[in-house]
Formats: sequence, structure tokens, C-alpha cells
Amino acid sequence: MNIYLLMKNFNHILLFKTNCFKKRDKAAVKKLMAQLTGVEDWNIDMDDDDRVLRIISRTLSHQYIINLLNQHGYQCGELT
Amino acid sequence: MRTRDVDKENLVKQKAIETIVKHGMEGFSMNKLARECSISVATLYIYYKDRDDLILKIAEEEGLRMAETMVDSFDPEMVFEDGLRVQWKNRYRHMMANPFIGVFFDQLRTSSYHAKFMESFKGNFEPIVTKFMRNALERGEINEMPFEAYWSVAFAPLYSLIRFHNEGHSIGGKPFKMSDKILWATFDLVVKALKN
Repeated sequence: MNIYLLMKNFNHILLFKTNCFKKRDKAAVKKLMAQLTGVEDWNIDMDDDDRVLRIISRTLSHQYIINLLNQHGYQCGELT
Repeated sequence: MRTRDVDKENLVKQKAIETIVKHGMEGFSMNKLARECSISVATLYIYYKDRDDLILKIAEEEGLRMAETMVDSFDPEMVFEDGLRVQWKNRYRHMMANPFIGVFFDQLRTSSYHAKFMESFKGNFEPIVTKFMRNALERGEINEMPFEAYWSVAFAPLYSLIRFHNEGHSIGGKPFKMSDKILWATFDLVVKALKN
């Protein structure tokens, strides 16, 4: 069982809609994630229309990630 | 604050299986599933990392549930006919209560999820069933035969009947509804074929 599912809330799971359609976009995000501190895990669902970026972090905010991806030319918005 | 909701999780699992069975693995997406469940896509991504993660977790869970049901009240030391009867009863009960599950397992079998799915499914279940077959062999109740031949005679007839029932018709479109009478008459034929 995933340890996160045993916890009471999911505020540490940050979800975003992105336009990371290509493999090279995913590679670019990978680079960004590697440079950040406080990312416990992350992935992009390349099978989904929204190319959902999912980040596990207890310290980073949605806005911080949105700004970061925007700065690198990607559309990124909180998935609600 | 987002919190865990077991009812919602069960709905997601049930709808995911139903959607995959109806529309196939290829057309299945988190967006479609969220719509089917009338929940937000974000909620799905709370529970599952991505589409693969969702399919695999549900497959593993369902495989485990099926494996547990199969060995319910079953003992590998049972006399062959009695043991096989219990296995038929368990499989029958589980598949009638979960009409999509048989097709879902078939779809998994022909997908890239196959290996991982079988891993979780076989672990609990295979040693017990293998032991049962070996015991029957040692007691001279059945003859030695390839496992695949055994399985095909022992269980394929049951799955075939359940499939006819789920589809509502048998060969040539003839209407069909399963009954205990047909089930156990078929079982008797299977026992006749396998037992010395």
C-alpha cells in the first residue's frame, strides 16, 4: 500500500495541467525537478490529454511550480 | 483539505473495470473515468500516479480478491471431486457477482500488464492448486497430464457457460441463462472426463 494513502490529507500531492506533449518536454521537466529541493516524487501522465504533472512535496507550492514551468515556456495550471 | 473517501475509491475501481470492459483498454483515460464517476480528474490523481498505475493497482487488487475467493473453504487435501466442486462453486459465485471481471481478466491477459498482474494473482493461489492436483495424482484419482490440459478440461467449460450467461446467448445467438442445474450437470461431465 502506498504510504501516502494511509495519511489523512493529500495537500502534499500537487497536481497540474500542462502542455508537455513531447518526450523532450518531459525531459525538460525532469531536469527542472532534479534541481528542486523538496520534491519527493514526480511524474507526468503522458497518456492523458491534460499531461498531468504530479508532484509529491511538503514544501513547494502550486504557484511556485506554475511560475517555474511558465518561465521555461510551458503552460501549467493547477488541476482542480 | 482533500481527504480519502473509501466509497469514492470503490466507485472508481468499479467504473474503471466497467469502462475498460465496454470500451477497451486503448480508449481508456483518466479524463473519461473521472466523467463516468462524476468526480474531478484531480481526485483520480490523488489516488493514482497515472493511467498505468491505476490499471495495475486495480488489476492486482482484483487478482488477489479472485485468488482469495478461489481458495475459500478449499483444502488441497480434499478428495478430487469435492475439491474441484468447491473451486467451481467459488469461481462461479465470484464471477456471477462481478459480471465484468472475467472479461477484464481476459483483457489483461492480452495486454502489457499481463506479467505484473499474474505475479500478484499466482502467488497465493498457485501452490495450493498445484498441491491439490499432485495429491489427486498420488492417490490415483486422476492420471498424469500436462497442466494446460488439466486446466482446460477442469475450468474452461465453467468459464464458457459464464460467458454465455453474461452475453445472454450461446452459440448461434440462442438465448441462454445460467442455472444451477446446467452448472452441476456440466460439472459432472468434467469429473467424468478427469477422474479415473
